[in-house]
Amino acid sequence: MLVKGLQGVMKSHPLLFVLVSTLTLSVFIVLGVAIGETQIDFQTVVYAVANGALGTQYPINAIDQGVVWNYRLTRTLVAACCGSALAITGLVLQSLLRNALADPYLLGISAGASTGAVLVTIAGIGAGALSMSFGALIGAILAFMFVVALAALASGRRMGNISTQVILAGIAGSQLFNALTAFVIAKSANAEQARGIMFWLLGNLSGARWQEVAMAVPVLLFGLMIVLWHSRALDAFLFGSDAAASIGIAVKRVQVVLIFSTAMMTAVMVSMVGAIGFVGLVIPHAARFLFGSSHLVLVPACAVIGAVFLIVCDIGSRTVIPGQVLPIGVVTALIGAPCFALVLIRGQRK
Amino acid sequence: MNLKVENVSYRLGKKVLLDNVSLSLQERERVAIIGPNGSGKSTLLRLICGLNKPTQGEVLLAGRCVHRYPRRRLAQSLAFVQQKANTEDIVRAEEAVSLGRTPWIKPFEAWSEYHQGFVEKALLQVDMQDKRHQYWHTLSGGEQQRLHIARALAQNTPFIVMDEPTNHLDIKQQLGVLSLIHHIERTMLVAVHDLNHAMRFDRVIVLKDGGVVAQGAPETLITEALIKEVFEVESRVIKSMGFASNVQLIA
Repeated sequence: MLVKGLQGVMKSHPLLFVLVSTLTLSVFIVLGVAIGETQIDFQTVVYAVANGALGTQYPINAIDQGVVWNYRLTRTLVAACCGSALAITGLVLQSLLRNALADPYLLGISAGASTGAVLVTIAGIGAGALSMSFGALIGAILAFMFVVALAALASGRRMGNISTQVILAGIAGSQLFNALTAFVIAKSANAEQARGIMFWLLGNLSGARWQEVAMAVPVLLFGLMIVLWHSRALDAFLFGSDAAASIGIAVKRVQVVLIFSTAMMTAVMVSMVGAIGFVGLVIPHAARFLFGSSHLVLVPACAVIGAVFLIVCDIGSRTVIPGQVLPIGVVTALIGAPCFALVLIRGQRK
Repeated sequence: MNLKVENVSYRLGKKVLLDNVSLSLQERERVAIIGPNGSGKSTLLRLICGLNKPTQGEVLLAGRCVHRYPRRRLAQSLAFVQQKANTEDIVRAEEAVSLGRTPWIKPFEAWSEYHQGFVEKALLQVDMQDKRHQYWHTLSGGEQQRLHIARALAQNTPFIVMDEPTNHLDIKQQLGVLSLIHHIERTMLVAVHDLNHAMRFDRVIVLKDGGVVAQGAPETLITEALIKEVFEVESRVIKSMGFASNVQLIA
């Protein structure tokens, strides 16, 4: 009943959905900005945002202004973008490859990103001229290309088989790049560096500033548009790629466009904040449970749920242990795993 | 609109799956393809639907090679019901059928009465209106197959191609699907496993080892000699007035 109700409402009143989701997102962004280690009262938060966004001159403490505007707000926005991007990517890969375990890192992106990051920060490639996120982005893209090339070689002419080959190639690629990362860390990192890189590998939003927001928002919007445009095509994969082809989907083109664009979206996000696990795997399942199987509804739903989920996890990571920030990947799994278990159990009852 | 297969061969590595096959379909004709396992039935249907590309020769739909068609345009002319297509997703019967409208609907076009009309008609034709809200995984194999056929009907194409649609079904469901096929007024090309089912088609094409061995009206074509030659079993073909001939296999 719930599913039918929600899906019906979203399909028949898209404006209502846009309104509700904008409102929900705004509420959580405000929460993300208002809650944190340092107590800042709500009025100050509002003033600080107004000062930053509208150029007003409310007299507030410069430190508060800085914490709210340059630290918490950017961090929350980047968290929202990453959550959306990862959830959408997970959804697309699960639908295209017909595999419930597909997630954004399936294609070796996170493994490649960490290799890139490690090579820049620890092995010193680029001699300080390259940033860690640039290294991570290049690593992610190279690993992705490697996986795709391997999958293409392995499937040969039997294109119908590509989804299995992509998954196998992804596993091989991820293992290879993870091994490279471990090798570099073992060979050249000191304890301090190893700890730093571990933190990044589990996801770290602390570096998110306006520069990152300016990167994340357009990349997310662009990816979201492409995926939304293909949402009926994604529906068509319900019975596999042959069935999709026979109801008029140019399977190869859709697979290439969607896998490539979501992979790039993920690569950009991972290069900024590290490999935040679990979001891309779990949110699509939760969204399907709540909203049924139509991608016209699922894609925006995943975008919103993913964003909200990661904002909440970020708040958790900053507040659970006073005086210490947990890696966000730890929090996503700690909150996500029980939620996922619940969804799984309730899904069985249908 | 007619469909022609011209000197088509298909090789996978060194293995020849189809060897110089030619055939054609007339409008509103119901044609069955029979042949033993591995004779190339499924491969031929996949080539006709443009899912694989022939190594040699071509498949022409309305005079144009199927590989020159944009996928969407091809799916507006030709629907394909696979042997077995399943999903793990939680979907309702009706949603599976409405997928048939995919080639006719634009990316951001809202679902409308017009499209729903085709879905309703298709559900009615396969007699599944009552179970439209049921989840896919709660339906029997026969019901799922009927929904696949309904999906093809909602696609509203002049041609429907089916690959052994009665496979994995019990006898009653087989007969149900079969009589359904006979009430569909489209040009149909159906791979058939059971020779008695083939008897109910307008024409039968016999494949063996990747080549067409014989074709013609089932009453005259399907004989004890042909069955012996193609399937390598003894049989008795019983003719009775007013009914389709009956093939009895002798163990």
